[in-house]
Amino acid sequence: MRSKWVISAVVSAYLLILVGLPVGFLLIHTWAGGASAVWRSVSAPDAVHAVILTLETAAVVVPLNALVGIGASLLIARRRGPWVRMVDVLFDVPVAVSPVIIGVSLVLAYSRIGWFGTALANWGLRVIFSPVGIVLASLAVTLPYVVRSTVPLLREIGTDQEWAARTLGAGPWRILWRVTLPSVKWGVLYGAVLAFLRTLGEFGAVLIVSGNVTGSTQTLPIYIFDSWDQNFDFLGSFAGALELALIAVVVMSIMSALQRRERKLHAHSAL
Amino acid sequence: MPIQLSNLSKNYGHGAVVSDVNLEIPSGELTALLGPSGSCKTTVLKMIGGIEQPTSGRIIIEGRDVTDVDARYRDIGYCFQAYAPFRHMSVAKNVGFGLSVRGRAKSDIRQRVGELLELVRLSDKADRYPAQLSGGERQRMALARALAIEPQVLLLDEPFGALDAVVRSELRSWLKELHQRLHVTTILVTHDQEEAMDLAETLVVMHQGRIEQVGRPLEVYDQPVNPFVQSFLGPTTQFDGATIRPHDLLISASGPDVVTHIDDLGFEIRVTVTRASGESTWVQLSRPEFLDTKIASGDQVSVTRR
Repeated sequence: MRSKWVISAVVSAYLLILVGLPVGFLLIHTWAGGASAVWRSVSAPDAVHAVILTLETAAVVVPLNALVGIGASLLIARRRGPWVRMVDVLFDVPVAVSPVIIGVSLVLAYSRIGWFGTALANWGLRVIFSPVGIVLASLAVTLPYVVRSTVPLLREIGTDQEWAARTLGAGPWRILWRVTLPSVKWGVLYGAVLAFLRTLGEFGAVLIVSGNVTGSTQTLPIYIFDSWDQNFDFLGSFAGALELALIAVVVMSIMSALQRRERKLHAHSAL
Repeated sequence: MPIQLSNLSKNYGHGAVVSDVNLEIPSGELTALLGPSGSCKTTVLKMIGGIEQPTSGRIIIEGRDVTDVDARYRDIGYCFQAYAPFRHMSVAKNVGFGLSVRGRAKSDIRQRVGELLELVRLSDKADRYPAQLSGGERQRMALARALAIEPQVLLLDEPFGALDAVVRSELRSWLKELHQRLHVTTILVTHDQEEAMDLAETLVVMHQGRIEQVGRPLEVYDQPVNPFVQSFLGPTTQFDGATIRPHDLLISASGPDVVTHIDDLGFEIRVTVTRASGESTWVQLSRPEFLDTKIASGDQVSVTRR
């Protein structure tokens, strides 16, 4: 079984170089100055504001993304036609192009130089350089996640269960709530978690639309970058990075715990 | 006549898959749609259930034209070939689904589900999930779920298709018994002639989207209207240029014909004979009959009609 050892060693080294060492050094450097220094960095008003803005953004983006994702998944998996194929392809565009391009395009469309910016401003709605723009950019970059994790499940379960429910007298909404969605809930949840993590971490698109106003339109990744690049506040950037990583770990743990509980309960595979 | 199909056709763009089906299905009986795969018998079943929309023609159930009625208002119990259990619901919830959709009181549902589970012998599995059931149990659960809404018609698509031989014959006699107790008008789709002969009171033989023959099983077996029906319902052989059932032939020792080979299938023995005329024919014998004749390969025999 020598080959097994070689594979294990290569994979371990790979993970150590890419994940283990960077995260290890992040921890070491963050805690080098002691807990009180970390606390001071984390509780700085701009840092707190960045965390809150990031979580608020995610709180809007994730449910919207899931809702639209479910609708689009049903469309892509259950209907046919050229326009359905077009929708299918369009949902992939955000992963195909750089987030920076998404940011620039949003600015072009919704700032005062764009087609709608002036009209929107007259309505009193400022999109670019505001949280609205951050939400838009986050929605755009997370577009495909729920769709890509839900469509394969919808295709796999087929339509027999839905038809069975219909012959038993169920209407479309009841079929959706009691048959279709429960069958694909892990796909939706998985996609929503990915969208949440991406929203937390998105940098390029958000940087461009937000205008990077400290204490106002700065999300956590931009705060980290700003501390590092502009203010030479390395501890601030380390602490911010650690917070970001912590939130991600917590969310992923909750998800896997939920899944394990469900598996135990039903003893049938879910996702 | 609870179910009447008149001039029912289904077209998928590249041509008709079901053409001009006219059929009357008697009340309270079990009718089998029998045909080889590709005869589109399931398509007919789905059209009756409202799962497929016919291109033309009418479907009338108990005097009510349901052709344009949505599946949810047709009052039909449909069992899918793969049973289509709601995987995230317990057995009891599956069976009670139709009742809860109808807004019945929780206590009513619990009682009715209890009765149904007893009927399909799944009382001890009420809290299990479909993934924890065997194939036969899943099938019985699907049947209970369909029966829960007290449908006017029960539609079964290849009910034993996915089961192994032992469970299959067990479930078959159970279904026969159940039907004799409930007398729900039932239409069953199958490609297995033995199953159809055993269960059905009326047989509808289909081929390439058309009905070939309708009748009582023995009637169809004994008086097939064409060679397709004859050969689909059971083995055939040639005798004096005519196509007949090989069990209608007798074999006796000594004569002008020669035994070419013998296939021993256990209870059934197939004796292939080259006749004096050069015609090759085969005779189907039971084991006791075969042992009485004491024939072996290469023997001189004579073959006659019974």
